[in-house]
Amino acid sequence: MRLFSNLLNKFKMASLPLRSGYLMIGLVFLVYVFGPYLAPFDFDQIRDDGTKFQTLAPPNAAHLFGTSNLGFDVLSRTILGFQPAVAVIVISVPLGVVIGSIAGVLAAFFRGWVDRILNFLADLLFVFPALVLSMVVSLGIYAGQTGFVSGVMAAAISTAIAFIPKYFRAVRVEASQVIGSGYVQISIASGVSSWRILAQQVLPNSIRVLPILISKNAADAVLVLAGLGFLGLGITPDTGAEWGYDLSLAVGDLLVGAWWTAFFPSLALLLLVLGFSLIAEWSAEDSLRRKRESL
Amino acid sequence: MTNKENFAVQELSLGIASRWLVEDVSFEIPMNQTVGLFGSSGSGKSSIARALANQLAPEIITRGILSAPERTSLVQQNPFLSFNPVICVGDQIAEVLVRGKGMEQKEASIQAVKLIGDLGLTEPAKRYKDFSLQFSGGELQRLAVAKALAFDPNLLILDEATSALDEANQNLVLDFVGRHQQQTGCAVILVSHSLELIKERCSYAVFLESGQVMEQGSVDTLLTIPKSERLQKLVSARQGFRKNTNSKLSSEQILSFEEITVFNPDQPRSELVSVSNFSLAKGESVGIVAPSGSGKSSLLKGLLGSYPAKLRNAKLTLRETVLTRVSQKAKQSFGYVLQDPRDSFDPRRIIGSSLAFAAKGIVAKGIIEKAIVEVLDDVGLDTSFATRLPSQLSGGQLQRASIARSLITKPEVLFLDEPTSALDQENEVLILDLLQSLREKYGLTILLISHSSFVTKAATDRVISL
Repeated sequence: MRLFSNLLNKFKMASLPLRSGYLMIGLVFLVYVFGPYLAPFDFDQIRDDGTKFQTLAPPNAAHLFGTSNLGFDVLSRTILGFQPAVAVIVISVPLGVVIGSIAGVLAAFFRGWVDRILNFLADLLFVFPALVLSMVVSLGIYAGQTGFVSGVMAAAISTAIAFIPKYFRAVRVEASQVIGSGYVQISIASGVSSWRILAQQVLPNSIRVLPILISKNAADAVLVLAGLGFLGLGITPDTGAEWGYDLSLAVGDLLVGAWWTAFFPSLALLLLVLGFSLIAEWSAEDSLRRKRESL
Repeated sequence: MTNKENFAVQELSLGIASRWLVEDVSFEIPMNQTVGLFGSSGSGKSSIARALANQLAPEIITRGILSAPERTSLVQQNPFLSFNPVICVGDQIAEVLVRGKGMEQKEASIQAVKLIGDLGLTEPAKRYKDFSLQFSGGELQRLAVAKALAFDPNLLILDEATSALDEANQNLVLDFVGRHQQQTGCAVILVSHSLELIKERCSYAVFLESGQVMEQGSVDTLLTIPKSERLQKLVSARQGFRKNTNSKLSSEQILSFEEITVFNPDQPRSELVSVSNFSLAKGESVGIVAPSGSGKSSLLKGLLGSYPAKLRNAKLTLRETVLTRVSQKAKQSFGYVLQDPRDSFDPRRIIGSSLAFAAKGIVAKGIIEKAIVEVLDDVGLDTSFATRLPSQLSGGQLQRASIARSLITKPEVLFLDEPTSALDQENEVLILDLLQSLREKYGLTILLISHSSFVTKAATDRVISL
């Protein structure tokens, strides 16, 4: 209950763009949870009661968003497309956050060669674009075998790798400030174990910047998943509903005037990415504004 | 110029929309004199200074008469704010000479070099081209004052301009102002929280308390026969501060070493400070006094393991065991108090939690709560403070809490790094008093670092100069 009122309070204080971001992600969450019950058909269903769906049918009473070239129900695939999208976020974000921030805190605390090595590794990872990396992961780990798990994992791991240096940098800077502050110096001087100092004083005070990066990470993870699908290296239509794959097919549909196969998956993708981007950009903006006002 | 006229403040009030911050303040500023504005932090002295310099924030409401001269200069505490960091310092002073005195650019540059030389800086022609970050705080504050005076003001306001400086630099700055005052006869307002400074440098003083004038008069009468209770207390505390000399000084050494060299943690080969033949007897209180930048804080950091350091022939006798290096275990018998109490507490934790964090693993688990109540009581804070956040305490209270934390592990040696420098004088005296009584009660050995000879005199038996 307290958590709920805290969230409500946060929502009330937010600016309009940030509020819309929260609303969009709230909607995404609801569709994710209730999607399997909401979707009228399964993601790979092409016939109902023995009759085959008409292919490329425009929106109608039986298929509110129409059907695709392969005869899939677009509404069902749009709704069920939230499943892999959220899964990729749920795997990618914790992976990046945990590795990146622990490395950041260690680099700031031990300095010297630990710092130099970790910085070097971060620089190394920094040069990889997430999408290219995801193709490498997909081919390298899963041998180009495409499916639900391999698609999600390839997108999640590669986005996490692309974001580790960002988490690392942000946390390292904050942590070196925190370590320089009096209370940590006092703990060091009075013989408190390094492990306790790092876990209980440095880390909790160094992760203020993470929410912004997490939102960016989430948006990117979904885009990489869609990109991978678009290139045909992600989730195949028989293993799961995925917008990127549907969009790659929809390009051809547009030429014959079938807008619905491209429009609805794009809208879902937009909702997710825009929601997280709004939260990322405007939570930074809002906290800056509050700082200015309090001065 | 209206040279023989006196300036004055009459019934000046300053406020924000909801309340007055300064109310009905009146005083005169005679030419060729130095007027002191003093009081503890939050008394409104800086707001008055800003009003006189016409530098108030736009939302401040003013009432009353301010007959300040047109040519007024204000110098603030942080000298780095007085200079543009991307233009060399000499050019900035020359610019003031051009605008203020109508000099030619060339003449102004020559004059600026001369001025820099007059301030006691070596190689003035070379320093002319330096940027503000290449100067020390003391040097730059002298330059800031020189820049303010280059404008030839009728009134110079020094708003805590010397309180971040050590005593030597403070005197250099104020002597320079004094010489200028004798030459030009300008008026000076000295805003400070330091009683000693007011006494030494001013002829007339105004004592402020929460935005109101408590009393004013010539410095001699004000500080010898103060009328208000608050000032009486402050004056007697500062002048009559007597320490009880330690009777039972044992000959047993608690900490000694032949030499310590402390290195810069970012450049492991560059030496910060080196001290040889140091010893600390059990129950002794030793002060290290040195100007800023001499590496006295680094010395402590090296000794306590925050900075890399090399110790030669060290011997520690802690809790009846003899050690040859400052081990993790040894550090558990140390207490450490820093200058800035705001920086000394994790902002996310309530005071009690910070104390418990320090006690964990050293004080037995079952009695931590009892220990917290006890040490808080020892430093004069009641139990309710344990549940407050650091932001809900005043600076003085927070410094007490910091001392309480250092005591919770029942340390043998207490290291104090400028423990009162961030506090106003009333709190400084209270903290020094507290240290006296705690030293007896806990049987502490104390190593105190300060740039103020008042503090070391009041709190230590023996002083080492670096």
